[in-house]
Amino acid sequence: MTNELWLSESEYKLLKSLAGRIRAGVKYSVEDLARLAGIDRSSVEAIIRLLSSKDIVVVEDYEETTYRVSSEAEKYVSGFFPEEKLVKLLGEFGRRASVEVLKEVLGAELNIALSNALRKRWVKVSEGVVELLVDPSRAIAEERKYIEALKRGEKLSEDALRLLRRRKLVERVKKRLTWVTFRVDPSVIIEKAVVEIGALTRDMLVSGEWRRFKLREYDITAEPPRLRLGRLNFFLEFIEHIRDVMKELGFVEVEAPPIELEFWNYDVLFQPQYHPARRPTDTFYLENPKEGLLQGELVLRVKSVHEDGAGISAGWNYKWDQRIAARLILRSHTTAVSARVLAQKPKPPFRFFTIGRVYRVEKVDAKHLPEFHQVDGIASEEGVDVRWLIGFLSEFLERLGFKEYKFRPAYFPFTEPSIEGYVKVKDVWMEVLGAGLFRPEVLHPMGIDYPVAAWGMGIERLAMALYELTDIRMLYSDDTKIVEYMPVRWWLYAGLTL
Amino acid sequence: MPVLRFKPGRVEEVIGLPLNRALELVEKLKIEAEVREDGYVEFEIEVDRPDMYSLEGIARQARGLLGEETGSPRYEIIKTDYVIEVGEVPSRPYIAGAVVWDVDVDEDFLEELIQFQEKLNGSIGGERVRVAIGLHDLDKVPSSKLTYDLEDIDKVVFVPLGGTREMSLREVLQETEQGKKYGRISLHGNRHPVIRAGGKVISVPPVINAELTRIEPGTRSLFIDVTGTELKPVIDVLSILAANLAERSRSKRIGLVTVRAPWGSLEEPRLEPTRMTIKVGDIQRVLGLELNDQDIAHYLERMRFSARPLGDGRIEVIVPRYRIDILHPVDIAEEVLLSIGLENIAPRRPKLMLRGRLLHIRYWEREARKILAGLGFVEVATYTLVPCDYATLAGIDEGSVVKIANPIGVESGCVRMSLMPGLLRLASLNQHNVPLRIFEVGEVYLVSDSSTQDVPVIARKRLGILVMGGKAGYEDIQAVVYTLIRMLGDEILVVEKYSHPILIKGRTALVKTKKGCTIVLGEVKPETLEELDMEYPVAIAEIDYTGLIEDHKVMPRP
Repeated sequence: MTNELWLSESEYKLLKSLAGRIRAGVKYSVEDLARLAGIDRSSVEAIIRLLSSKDIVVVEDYEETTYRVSSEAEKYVSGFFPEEKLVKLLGEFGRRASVEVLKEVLGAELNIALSNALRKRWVKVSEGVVELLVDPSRAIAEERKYIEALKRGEKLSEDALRLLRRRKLVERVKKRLTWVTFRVDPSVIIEKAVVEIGALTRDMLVSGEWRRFKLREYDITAEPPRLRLGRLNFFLEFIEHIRDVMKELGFVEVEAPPIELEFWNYDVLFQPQYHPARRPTDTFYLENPKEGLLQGELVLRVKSVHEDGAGISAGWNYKWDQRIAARLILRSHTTAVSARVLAQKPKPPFRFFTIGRVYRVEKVDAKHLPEFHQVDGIASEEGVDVRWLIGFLSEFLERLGFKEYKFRPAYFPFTEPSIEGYVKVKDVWMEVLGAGLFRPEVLHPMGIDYPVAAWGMGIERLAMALYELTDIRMLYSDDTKIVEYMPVRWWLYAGLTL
Repeated sequence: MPVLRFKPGRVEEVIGLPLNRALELVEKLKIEAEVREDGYVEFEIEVDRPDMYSLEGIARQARGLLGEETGSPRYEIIKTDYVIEVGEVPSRPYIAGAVVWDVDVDEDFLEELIQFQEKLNGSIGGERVRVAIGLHDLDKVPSSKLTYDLEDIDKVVFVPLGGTREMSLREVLQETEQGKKYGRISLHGNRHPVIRAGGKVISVPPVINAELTRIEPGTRSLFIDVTGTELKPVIDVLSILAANLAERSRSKRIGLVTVRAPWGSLEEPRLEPTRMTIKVGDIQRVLGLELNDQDIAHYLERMRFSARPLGDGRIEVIVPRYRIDILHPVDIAEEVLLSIGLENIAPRRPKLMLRGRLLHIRYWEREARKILAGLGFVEVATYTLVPCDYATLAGIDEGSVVKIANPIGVESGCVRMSLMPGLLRLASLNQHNVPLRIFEVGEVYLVSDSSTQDVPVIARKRLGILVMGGKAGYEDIQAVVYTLIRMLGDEILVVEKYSHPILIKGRTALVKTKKGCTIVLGEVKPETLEELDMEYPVAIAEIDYTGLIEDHKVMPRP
């Protein structure tokens, strides 16, 4: 061979396993080859076609017609053909009988029996009476002979086959036969051929066999398989990012469990007990445990500031109920944590933050969850005022990567003045944070006489906007594939292009 | 936040500006304005400003900002012979009334009036529990002599508003929509509060008025009744109603109504303003702006306060009666801020440098998470509101589980007591993604029997890990836990046999580490897997790492 002969790995494998077992110039069926090579028939067939296109083998296809005895014929052969039954019956009836009588015995088979017996001139019919013309003991159907011959594997004449086929006693079966002749001995071919392989293996390297092989060129544009991977959760990583931003801004992290006394969630924050948010339609109340322990001087001071303003404010003018304040709830905002920190009268300057879950009575839909995360911060230092607050919030939003933001006046029961912060995400303004200076009615009962700035931000809605999710439930997806394959938006953490 | 809807034409008419300018202006009043698809204008108004729950109230403020009318508004308040004689009404003791003349109701205004009343009832009124309003056509009120008393619900007969036939009060409470909704609020045994004028029923507060005094297009003047469980909010609401309706009145005339009750007598709405003396220095300190007393007085006049500098660094501010949100001088400071406009204030960035710090435990969590990700685990986030029957899967007695009184559904009736049930649930939902390796970091909560804790609940910090696959056994989870603990610089100290309701006996361990982690790990029982419709074996671990921080509590409770 002057030209190099190329073999694929599978061709090589087949030839190798046939080498020494077959001879060139001899016809083998595919079945024979499959058996000799120990490879399944359909694989061998496919490889043989490839070898044929490379002119290594000659393939001849034949179609062979054979006949299979039908189940009806089997039944007749082991018993009687219908015409045989008829003749036998007529013999018993004294060689003649009316069609009606015969029908009663033979039923539906009578028609077949009559037509065949008439064709064979065994009987004649006149005026509804069938008369036997032959000796019953000699009336044996010739079909019986043909079928028995067929079953023995003998060839039948065309006439016999036509007869059997007309009576549907045999079925024609077509069978394809492939004969393969090797032009050259397989062992000679594999000596000369260069084998193309897919994967390089350790064995090839160790044996040096790799030299015989040519590494096949791949379709390098084909999509590779998707890999399984271990991942940190994209949403929780976004929360970690906010933690880092807070730390960078000089805030110290604190935390408290979300199961809280109404006192810290509402009363300390000067939210009157009749406030609409303090109802089961808005706040989650606990059945077990129902209430907590509320004592100390702060409780009395909070009562006083609600009822009559404690000499510094007009107050809310209603009867404050300690039992309501002692009820347990799931906190509705992380400002409850800030309130607990403040009650310890930290010395300015200070900056504290907390990130935690908060709970509101909401039906679950694409935009609402009954639980979500908030980040809450408090700060006090020389010169904390409205200008400082919007200065600080600007710094915070810019460090989160927002280029466009604005502030608007707002209302919260525990801060005055109060403001809301908006950021522009993909050309849409969205409200992201609430802030303000704590009211004197909050600070005075704690004995705090310095100004304290406070702000809070919901995290889920922001994460949704930045990850361009349309359904908040995607952040807590039941489908682990979503978490596994969510592309990370690292540029958010770099503070780029929001 | 209350949302009010108005026709754009009405907004232009009452505020006196083209629509887009009017919407811009109201933003300065903390109102979020939007034109809806149905053509209506929607105003979202902060809950502290019920005096702006009607267009006239908003326009009063807008005219101040435009400089058209400044200082506190004046209304003509005159005596009338309207008297309400009050009996013992323990379920709803307080009542006050007012007359406002020349309001001239038309179809648009009627719609706004109903909205005004509903928003007041719903917010400050506490869904009519604290305060409820009745509005009547003054000319249809049969007499100026009114009574307010508890009456037997079977003996009171009248046609309720919108009704076509006489009904007993019992029928009204039981059969009408309003009766079913509000009928129990002030019911006192078999008796209910009733207002009569000249012996005829005009209202059964807080449920419904009588058809007799129905307001309709063409009604000229109004009679207002306000009832409630506390006197102050009753007078607050009455004052807001009277002042805002007088804004619409041609004559701006308000009539006083005398109330004689067991708890005392009064004549309202006098709209008596409060006087507040504020310090220039306080305003400067809150806003961070250099303002003098003249500036501050000017800004306040535009917000419809009357303000007079006293010359000694103090300013006397007259606060109109309807401004029930002004409790403290800091509220006046905010008014100055609104008057100046937040957008006109230059931010000042903090200059002080402070050292930020995360909770120490965050660093353990971050490293643990990274190691698990490296071991091929996906971090999941699940809810902390869980079905109460998770307790069974967690092997925790139901009495120790934090239970919610008003859950939104059975799927979220309790607070998470263990991470295992949630991870198992996720595994059962992700059998198409086998082998599955997941973990979650989160707190769990259990009821404490301590009587000294202010919140009788124990919080535990947990890390749950789950492996599911064609073959996932004890060794598979054990190897992960041991590797994790060792890579975190900790040591496996004790390994004991352990029993857990969902883990296979003899394949469950309790592990303690040198630094204070307690770990339960094991292979999940086939019974449990079958119950959860799971076809793959699961091995699971829950690490309690609360012990790592117990020695140095980060934030002691007050």
